[in-house]
Amino acid sequence: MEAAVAASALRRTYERRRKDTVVALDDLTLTIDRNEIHGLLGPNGAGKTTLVKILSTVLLPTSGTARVLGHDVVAETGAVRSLVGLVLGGDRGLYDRLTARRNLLFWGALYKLDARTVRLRADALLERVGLADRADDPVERFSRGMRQRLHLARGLLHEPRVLFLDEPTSGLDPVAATAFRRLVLDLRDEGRTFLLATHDMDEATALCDRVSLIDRGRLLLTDDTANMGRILGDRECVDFTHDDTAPEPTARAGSLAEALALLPEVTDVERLGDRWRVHTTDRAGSRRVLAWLIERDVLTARHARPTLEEVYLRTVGDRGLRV
Amino acid sequence: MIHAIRVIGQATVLGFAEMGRVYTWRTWTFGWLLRLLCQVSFYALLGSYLGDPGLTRFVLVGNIVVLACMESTIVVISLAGERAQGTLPLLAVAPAGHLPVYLGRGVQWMTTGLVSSMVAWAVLPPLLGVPLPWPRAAYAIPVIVLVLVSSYGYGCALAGVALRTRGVEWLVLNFAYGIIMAFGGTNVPLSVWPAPLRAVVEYLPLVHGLQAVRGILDGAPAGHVLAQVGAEALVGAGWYLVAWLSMERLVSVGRRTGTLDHAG
Repeated sequence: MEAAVAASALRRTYERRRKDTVVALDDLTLTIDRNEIHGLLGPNGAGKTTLVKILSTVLLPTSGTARVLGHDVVAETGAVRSLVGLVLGGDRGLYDRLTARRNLLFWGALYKLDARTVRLRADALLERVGLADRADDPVERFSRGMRQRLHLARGLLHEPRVLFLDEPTSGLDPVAATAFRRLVLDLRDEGRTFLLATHDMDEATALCDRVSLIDRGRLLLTDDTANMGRILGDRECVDFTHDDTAPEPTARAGSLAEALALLPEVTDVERLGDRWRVHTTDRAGSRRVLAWLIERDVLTARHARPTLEEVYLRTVGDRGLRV
Repeated sequence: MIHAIRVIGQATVLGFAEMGRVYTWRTWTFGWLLRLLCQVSFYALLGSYLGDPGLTRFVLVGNIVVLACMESTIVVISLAGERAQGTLPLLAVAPAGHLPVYLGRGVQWMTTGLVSSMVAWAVLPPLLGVPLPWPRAAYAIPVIVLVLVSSYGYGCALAGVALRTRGVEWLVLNFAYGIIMAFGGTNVPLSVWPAPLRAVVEYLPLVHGLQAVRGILDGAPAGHVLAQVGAEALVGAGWYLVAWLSMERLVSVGRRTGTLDHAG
C-alpha cells in the first residue's frame, strides 16, 4: 500500500537579498504510514514549516520528490490539494469579521462543496470542536484556543485523508491543548493520517506514533515515540528526588549523589532540574540503587528511561535561541 | 462554474462583513457620502465661479462618474488584506482556485460606488443649477455601472502589484486613482493633453465610459455612444485579463520563492 507521505531527497533553498543561499531542507527523506500520527520535532528554523508547506503544495521544492497518497506534490497539485488539510497555528488564516459558521461556509465553497453539504458539515464540525454555541459570533471575539479549534474545523471541512498541523497548540492553555489532542486522536481513529510539526515534547509524546527530529533542514532520526529513549543507548536509569533541606549534610541530595557515584553499578549521576538521574550498568544495578535510595528516605525514586525531551536536547544540541 | 459563482457569493458576504469594520450606515451616509457630494460640488462650483454653465456641467458630470471608478478601485485595499490576514496561501491551494475570491472581495465598494454616484446624479445637478436632460440622463446609468465594473478590474490588476510589496496598497490606490482623476477627462477635456499622453489614457477605465455619458447627455449619435461603451467594456476586459495574469503569477512566483505567506 502506498505510504501516506513519502518524501525523497527533498531539498529547499531560499535566496537572500545578499545573494547567499539558505538551506531550509537538506536532502530530507521521510515516510509516513497511513493512519499514523507522525511528529516532526525541531527548533525554530529547523525546516518543519518548510516541509509542511511543500507537502501541502504551498511551496515548491528546489529538488527531490514528495508524494502524498501516491500523488506528486509538484506534478499533481490538484489531486494532492483535495486529499490534504492544512492547519496553521496562530491567529492568522481566518477572517475575523466573519462568524465561525461563515468562515466555514466560505472555505467550503473554496473546497467545491455544495451548499447543503457544507452547511451540514459546518454544523457537525462546529459541534465536534466545541464551538456550536459560538457558531454565530465573529471570530474577532474568539480566544486563541477557539481560533485553533476553528482552524482544525476548516482543515477538516473537505474530509481530507492527510492533515498537516503546524504548531497547532502553540499558545493554548493546558485544558484547551488537551482537548485539542483528544480530538486529533479521535480523528486518527477514523483513519486519518497526521503530520504534526511542533516543538512541544509533551504533545509529541502524548500524540505521536512516531517522531522525526530535524535540525537545519536535515533529518536526524526517526523512530517510534515509545522507543526514542533507546536512541541514547539502551541505558538503565533511576530518577530520584530528595528533600535538600535535610538537617544532616550527609543526607542531602548532593551528598547522596557523591555517595552513589562510588557504587560499582553506577556509571554516572546527573542533575535534571529538580530531580537527579542515576545511570546504572544494568537492570539488576537499577534494583540495587533503588533499594539503596529507599533506605536513605528519598522523596521519590523510580526506574526510568530517557524521555523524548532528553533525546531531543541531546540530538539537537544546545542551540538555545540561536536559529 | 457553479463553484466559482458560490465562491464569489461567499467572498461578497465577507466583503460586506469587512466593510462593517470601516462604516456603519450612519457613518457612511453622513461621513463618506457627504464628503463625496462636497467634493463633486467643490469642483462644479469652480465652473460656476468661472461663469460658464457648460464648464460647470462638464466638471459636475465628470466628477459624479469618477466616483464610481474611485470606489471600485478600493478593492486594492481589500485584496491586499489577504496577505496581512495570512489567508493568501490557503486561498492559493484551495481546489476552487483563488481567482473567484477576488471577484467578490470588493463588491461592497462597487455597491457603495453605485449608490454614491446615483445619489450625486439625482441630487447635485438640480441643486447646483445645471439640471440634466431627463429622461435621457437615465440612459447614462447603465454606462456608469459599466464604469464601476471596468474600474473594478483595474483595481484587481493593481492589487496584484500591491500584494507583491509590503505596505504599498494605499500608495498604489491613490496613484492609480489620481492618474484617472487628473488625465481621464474628468475636469479637463482629453483634447487638452498631448497625443502620446492621450494614447496612454485610452487604456484607462472610465475614460470611454465618461465620453459615452457625455455623449448621451449631449444627444450624440447612437453609434458614437455605443462605440465608446464598447471601448470601455474592452478596456475593462483587458484589465480583468491583466488582473488574472498578475494574480496567477503572484501565486506561482510565491510558491517558487516562498513569499506567498509573508505578512504585509
